[in-house]
Amino acid sequence: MAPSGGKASDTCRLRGDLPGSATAAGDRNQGDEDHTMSSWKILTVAVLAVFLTAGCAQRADEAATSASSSASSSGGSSSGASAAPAQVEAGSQEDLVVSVGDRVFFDFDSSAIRADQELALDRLIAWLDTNSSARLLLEGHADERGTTEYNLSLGERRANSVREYLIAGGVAGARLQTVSYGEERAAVLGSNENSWAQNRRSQFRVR
Amino acid sequence: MRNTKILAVAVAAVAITLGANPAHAQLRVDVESGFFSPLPIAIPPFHDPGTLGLGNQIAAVTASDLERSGLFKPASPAAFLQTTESLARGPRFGDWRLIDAQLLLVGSITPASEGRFRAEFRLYDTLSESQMLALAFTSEHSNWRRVSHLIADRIYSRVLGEEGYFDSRIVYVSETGSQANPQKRLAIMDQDGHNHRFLTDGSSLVLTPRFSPDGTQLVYLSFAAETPRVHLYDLRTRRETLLGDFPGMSFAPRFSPDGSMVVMARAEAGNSDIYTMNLRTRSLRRLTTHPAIDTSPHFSPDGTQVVFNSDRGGKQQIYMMDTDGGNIRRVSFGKGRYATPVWSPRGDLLAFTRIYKGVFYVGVMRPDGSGERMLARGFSVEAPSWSPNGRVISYFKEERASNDGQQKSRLYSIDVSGYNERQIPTPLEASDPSWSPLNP
Repeated sequence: MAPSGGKASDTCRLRGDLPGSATAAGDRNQGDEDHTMSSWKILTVAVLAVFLTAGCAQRADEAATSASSSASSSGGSSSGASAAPAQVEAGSQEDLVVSVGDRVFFDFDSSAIRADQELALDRLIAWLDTNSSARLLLEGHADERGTTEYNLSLGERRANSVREYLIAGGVAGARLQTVSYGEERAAVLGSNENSWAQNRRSQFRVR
Repeated sequence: MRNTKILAVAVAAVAITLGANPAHAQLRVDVESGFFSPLPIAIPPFHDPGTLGLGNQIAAVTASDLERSGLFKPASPAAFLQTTESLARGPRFGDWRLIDAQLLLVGSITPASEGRFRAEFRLYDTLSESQMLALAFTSEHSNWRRVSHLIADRIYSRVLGEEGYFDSRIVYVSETGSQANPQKRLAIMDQDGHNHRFLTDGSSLVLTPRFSPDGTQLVYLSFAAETPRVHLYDLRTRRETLLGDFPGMSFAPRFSPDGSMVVMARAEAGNSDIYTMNLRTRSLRRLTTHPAIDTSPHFSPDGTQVVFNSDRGGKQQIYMMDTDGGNIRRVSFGKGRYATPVWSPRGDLLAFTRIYKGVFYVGVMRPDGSGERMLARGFSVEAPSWSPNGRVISYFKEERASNDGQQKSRLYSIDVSGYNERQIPTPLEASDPSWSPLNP
């Protein structure tokens, strides 16, 4: 499974979007692709350095997720990763992905907003402020390590945690709808800790 | 419609009173205590003088049912000494004792009116040389599989003293695609995997189908609209309808034992609680009001209790309440997380899913939480569902997905003793089995 989203942009990421620490997540994403491992690691470190000093164009779509998120049929149009930021229509899904990121991650069996994810949601609040007509569908997702019905509840809780955080930040509740997919829409394929960490998420879709 | 016809086909059964003293057979079997060694039985092809072509098939399906139960051991036809033609004139019991067949089924098939056939059979105890059962079924030719299951059920209940379960069906979720975008369809089949057909076309994601107590309807979760909601599927009309138009997600549905209500979970502002819906008025009644996740409710067979799982105590555990939501008490106290509790139709046990240290189990316990036993384990085993006689549990077992997101998931059954785990054949990957009641 080769990442198709374009390596250069994938490696520019929002710190808050990563399921664990940034470098650990970098290892995870490429953990099954040993042929690119070492060079990718170096690239990650290099780009993170750039990020810390300059803040490159941020993409939440990570290398490992880009292939699968475009396969998701839940109504998103987050593909077209090759488009340059200049061509992105303000307030679109693509704009959201490029300027804020389209997901936050959760701990196992938890729907609490993690401290390391708050930055991403704060940026989302600012983005919604700028794009005042944008409405979002907040999807809640769970990893596969629970029962189907419990995970539907957990996904609902996660989506709602995001909704409440955004409302507390001043976003009108009428702009935010939630849906739970439980464990039915993995973002990262495979059955391992790395994929589970990235599948425990809420994902945002511009409607 | 064809399926309507199949469901409605009447199988006429008559007791045959020929033969001496069928009432007092000596064979007595106790399957409730400990390990049980399967009963040897010989099921030679049914005598088919009118060459309806069903003699071999009915014998084979009957034998296959009994064999899969783990409680019978059909002898190999290669060992039979007496021929079917000779059997028609009466069994030579010595020939059957010689191949260690303790039970012998002797059947014949004859044409009946309007293109129907009549299957007549007698069950013998070869040791006492006595007849245990004599019965005939009349049905349409196309219905021969069902007749075979009915014969197996009668043998099962005559020998074991409890109702059989072979004349029943399983509805489940058939899966293709990857973890990121699975296609899931409702499918239905006989309990042995035959007469398989799809009910939905896969355009909407569907989960957790469950039978109505009369076997004519299903409740299930569908993502047909943006919000996942409980839907109803009528097996006679093949119509899908949304069950109740109220805001928020509704899920985890199950019928009440009298079929008048559906108990389900519903999420409001991120919080899942348990409700019942009156199917006639479509009105909702709320049973739980708690900020915890309450889901997977299931009525007791006497209709007085609802078991469910909740994380109100911190971790997911099994709880019980009265059907008005009162008298909530915790049932499971073991380590790990407990989920999807389902009452046995006998009312004596709960089956459940347990997740402990990264391993999934299907287990059983008494409704008071005592006597917990694990029956099956795996990377993921989930969604127990009882056979109509409360003897066998079906569930699905999932392996780790490959890195391209392909998942192997299949249906299994296991005897409540913990022995005899079997795969239930399905054409594609499969999950969420629900066992029907005995066919009407």
